[in-house]
Amino acid sequence: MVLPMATAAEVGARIRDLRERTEMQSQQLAAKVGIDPSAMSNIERGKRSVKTDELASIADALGVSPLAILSPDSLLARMPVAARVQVAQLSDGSAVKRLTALAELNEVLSEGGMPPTHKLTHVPPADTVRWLETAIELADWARQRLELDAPSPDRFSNLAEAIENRLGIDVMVESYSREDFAGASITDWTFPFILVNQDQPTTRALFTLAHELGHVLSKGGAILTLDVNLTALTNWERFANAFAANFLMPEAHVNAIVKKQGREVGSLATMLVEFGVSFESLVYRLHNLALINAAGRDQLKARGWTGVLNELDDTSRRKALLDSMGSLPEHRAPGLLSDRVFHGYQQGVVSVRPLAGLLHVDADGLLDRLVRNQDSMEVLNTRFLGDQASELERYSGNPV
Amino acid sequence: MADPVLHDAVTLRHFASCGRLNICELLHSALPIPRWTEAVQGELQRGAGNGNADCSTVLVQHWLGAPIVPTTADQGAIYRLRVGLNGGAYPPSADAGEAESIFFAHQLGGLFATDDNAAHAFASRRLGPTRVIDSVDILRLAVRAGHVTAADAAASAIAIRAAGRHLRRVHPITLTDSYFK
Repeated sequence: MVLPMATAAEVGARIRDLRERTEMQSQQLAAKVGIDPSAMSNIERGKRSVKTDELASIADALGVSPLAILSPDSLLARMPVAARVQVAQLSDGSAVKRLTALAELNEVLSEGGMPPTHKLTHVPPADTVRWLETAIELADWARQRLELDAPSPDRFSNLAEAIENRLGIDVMVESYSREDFAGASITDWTFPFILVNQDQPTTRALFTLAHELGHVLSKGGAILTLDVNLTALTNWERFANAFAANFLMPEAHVNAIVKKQGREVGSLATMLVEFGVSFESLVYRLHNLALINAAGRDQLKARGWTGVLNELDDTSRRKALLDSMGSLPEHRAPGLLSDRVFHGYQQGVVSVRPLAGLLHVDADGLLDRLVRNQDSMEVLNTRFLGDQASELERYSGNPV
Repeated sequence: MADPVLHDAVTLRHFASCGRLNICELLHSALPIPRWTEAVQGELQRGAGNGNADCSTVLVQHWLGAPIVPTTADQGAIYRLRVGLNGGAYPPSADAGEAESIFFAHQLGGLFATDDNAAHAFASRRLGPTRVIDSVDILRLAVRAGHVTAADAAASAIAIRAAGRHLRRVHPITLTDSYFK
């Protein structure tokens, strides 16, 4: 594939454009990058070549990927600056940086002949005016498409897998060391991607996963969404919350449980276990479905799920409820992207490092195993990866 | 070898750490330039600034000549190589020297000298396995060219390790003279 080669003038103009959109002065950018203001001016006017390290520094200062500067038609260039400015105001933009880096990887793999293949066809449209109605329609569509009506003990993992296999949307679960960050997504269907923070209870992570799925399916809001918490301040966020609630706790299913078990504590326990959601999500859902009033909602919130647990007589149901409420999600590498990266590694499009980074394993150890096993994909199985800590680290590659 | 050899910072530091940069000089100074890139020089300058003596030693080697400097038009391909080397991590800033070296080795039909496992494997697939060499290869070539004895070569490799630096994992723990013949 012939890659586009941007001239100094084109790169300079792009830098100036991005700088002006962030309302930064040329001198300010020069100071951030650590170069002379006249050098920055010459770069912007195309009169001076930009060095490799300078390009990375300029892009970082502008809050974009270097590919947003070098390839104006790329997904990276389409990620709106405004969203990034908002992100920069947050204390920790690491999730956005991670998604940006993964979008870069996607770009390079696509150019190397390994494009993503989503399966997003016949998706019902969503809009911000009829947000509740369209959220319900889309949730019904997604549930049928994902075939998730039967309750399962590991709903989060099963849903993540189904989203990848049936919709072609990557799902990654990773630790971000801040509990208020829930998740993020790339809603552009050229590389649909969901990121869920591992540092939240599985019940909350499940709602986050469904919320981000709502963003991706609706292509709502920005190309890059970031949910620090799931409080809805815009109609797209309300849409995503309504989608998640309808998707995870279908009205018919809720009504069926209430009809069968009554408005008793056992019914709450059944719903918590079957839906796999947090107690708070369930209480809001019951209120939104008018099954409880505002006073009832607040009473239940005050009791909490431990209150429900304490009132349960049945030991097996107590255990089921405890099991469903107590865990954290496991790290999860994005399956579709990992496969593409593996093939990219085989083809020499990428090195072993991106693969190791996705799998959270040591790059040198992984390379050893791949070489020893003739690049067999079996090496990616946890059975192979699990023993690496115990293996003698005879030599550790130490670049620079 | 009549093609240029682009040296990665890790390999230059390996030879500097054991006081045997002259082996690279003997072997490579007659080859066409370039012998290193601007980003490799930058990494070494930063290393020297952090007090790494081996980086300072490399920077005063006249035989390395002027580093090759990419143009703006080269930056798209170089950044894609950086992403290929370390994509997914942000920013992939540690790979600028490797990316530039692979880019110019490809463009100039040259060789890339590195002791980084991942970069070596990646470059081997892109450039071909015969166009990527490491410190042990350099020592073997120096033995073959009569610049050093096999015993000297083995001693140099052992000295690199003794300096706390690492050869590629494909090489055995025990290095004997015969490994360099």
